[in-house]
Amino acid sequence: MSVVLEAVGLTKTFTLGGGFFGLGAKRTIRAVDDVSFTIGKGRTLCVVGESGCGKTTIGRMILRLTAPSAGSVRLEGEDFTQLRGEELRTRRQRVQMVFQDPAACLNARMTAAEIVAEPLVNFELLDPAGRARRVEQLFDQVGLSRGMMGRLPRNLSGGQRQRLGIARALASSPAVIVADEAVAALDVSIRAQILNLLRDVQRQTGVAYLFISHDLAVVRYIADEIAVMYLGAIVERAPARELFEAPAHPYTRALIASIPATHPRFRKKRAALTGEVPSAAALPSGCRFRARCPLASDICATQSPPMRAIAPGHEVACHNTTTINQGG
Amino acid sequence: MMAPLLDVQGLEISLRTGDAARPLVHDLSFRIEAGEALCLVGESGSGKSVTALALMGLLDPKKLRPTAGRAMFEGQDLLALPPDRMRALRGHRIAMVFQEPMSALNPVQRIGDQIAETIREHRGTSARDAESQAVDLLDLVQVPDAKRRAREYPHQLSGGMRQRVMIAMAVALRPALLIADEPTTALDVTIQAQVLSLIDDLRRELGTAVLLITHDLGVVAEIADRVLVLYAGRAVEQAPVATLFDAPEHPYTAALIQSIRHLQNFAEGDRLIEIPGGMPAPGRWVEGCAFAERCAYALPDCATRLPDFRRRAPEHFAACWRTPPFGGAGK
Repeated sequence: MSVVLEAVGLTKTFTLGGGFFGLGAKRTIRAVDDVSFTIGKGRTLCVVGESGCGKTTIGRMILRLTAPSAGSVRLEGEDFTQLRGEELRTRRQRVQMVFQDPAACLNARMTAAEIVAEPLVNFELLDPAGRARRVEQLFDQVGLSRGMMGRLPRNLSGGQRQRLGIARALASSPAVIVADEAVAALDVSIRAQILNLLRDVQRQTGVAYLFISHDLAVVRYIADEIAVMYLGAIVERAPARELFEAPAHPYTRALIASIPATHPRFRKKRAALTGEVPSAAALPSGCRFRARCPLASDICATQSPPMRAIAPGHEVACHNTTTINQGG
Repeated sequence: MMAPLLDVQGLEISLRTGDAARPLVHDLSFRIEAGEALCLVGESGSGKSVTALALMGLLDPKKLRPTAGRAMFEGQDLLALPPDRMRALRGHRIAMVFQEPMSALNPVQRIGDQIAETIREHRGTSARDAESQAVDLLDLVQVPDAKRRAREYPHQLSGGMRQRVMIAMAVALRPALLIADEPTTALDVTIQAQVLSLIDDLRRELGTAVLLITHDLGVVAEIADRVLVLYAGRAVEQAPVATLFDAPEHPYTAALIQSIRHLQNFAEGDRLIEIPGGMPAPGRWVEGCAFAERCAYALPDCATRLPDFRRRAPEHFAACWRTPPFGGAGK
């Protein structure tokens, strides 16, 4: 399997405070803390976590919309983080994005066809006739009728706009698409359409996805591999099926247990987790999850658990993993 | 038999466009009994939120207004109440919780004071009593360290805590009906479960009826006693929650349920069950059944003949010319 995207020790820190002339106390927030992963050609890695866990910042660092404080991103073997100028512009063709709200990131005054053609124009790909053919082909590929090419985004439904966003992302034939909450704003009846489309497109083009979501239930279908994040760090990573069948981290278990029931007979008696995610500005000592963890022991307060492998491709950062497995 | 707490009959809500009025909600009827949890479920544009706003008298009268029907609540028609009477009722007998609590909280007032103010306005309680009641309410909605939190401002709280504060304010005067419009949609998944169970606890403790509006059948499965499914501004199905999930009588409901189940339980290589197409835009006139163009079970007549919302079994209503089974979803 050839690796198309690799994140090595990605870290993003923000400095808060300092006050006038730096007289106040400065605090450093580690929004993303030493995150590493690889994605193979035609594969999907889903990064899952709640708000503030750093998942969106990771996506932005991959896209070079935010500069990492440390670490690097390798895109098709090349250090993407170091590229500048013309080289960067050229390589950007290979990593594109799809966002949650297509309405907010599509130019409201451009027609659907112009929106899809824009990356071709920006990257100076194809001649005008070739662009027109490519746009038609992209419309077909994402299931938009060619009759919609002249429409403005506001005259499309939410599902159609998301199809347009996907067509645009595909225009420059990227190796990787970063999809941040790409189906979160869609109605249930449309969500399955878009998930199926993303899968179809992947089979046809071999594009890899970094699929960022707060919703574990949704990623199950699309993911080959899932990384669960909590407060800036990956706490568990596993092949999708294994993560659901044998979740090892108590936070992963809580996320799975929080998936709403599909029948009232499976109604939950109580919430899986109490408390809330602490502020990233006041990380607890030791394990960042311990304040909410049902299994926290003394060691959790003093030592941050390292990631360790518990099965092929399955890693977890928890001191008490064995306890969990024995506990069933 | 006792009258229901809320009895909505033939509600129509229309959008004003120039001289014409385009109906967004057509001939909607439903009842809520005291202490009951009814979920109004539908996708965006189905008319569920405007229905809630109409009941609260909160529609923007320049754009939207109820154009037919009545909504009897404790002997009064909510749709015909003069604004001052409606204001007196709102927050007192009927309270509402929104998706984004920040929009309903005053950003420059301490949360304890905001709750206390609600109590004083309606009850004329002394400042000191109202303050201590506010702390009790924060306790009730399980805000930890309520006394200290009461002195904080909304921006100091997380989204989940703000929603708890919003709920505390809503139940402060022990309303008979709590209308909650997507109360957990903006919250993280682990917090969503906490807030749903809080709403359920309060309903049991205080006997408050709940009208919960959601797009999420998962939320419905967690909290509803009965469910009303809306599609393109019309009721398409209504049933007790277990019946709805076990034996839906409308192909749209059946497809939605299959779709969320399949997402949790698919075989390797499956394509997800999808419903093709999309819902007609709000206010678009559809002659027959609005779901017909997406329906795997549609007959030629369905596109031109509107099915009645008919009783299929005691407590179970649906608007469809066909009868189950509706095995495969979509076309």
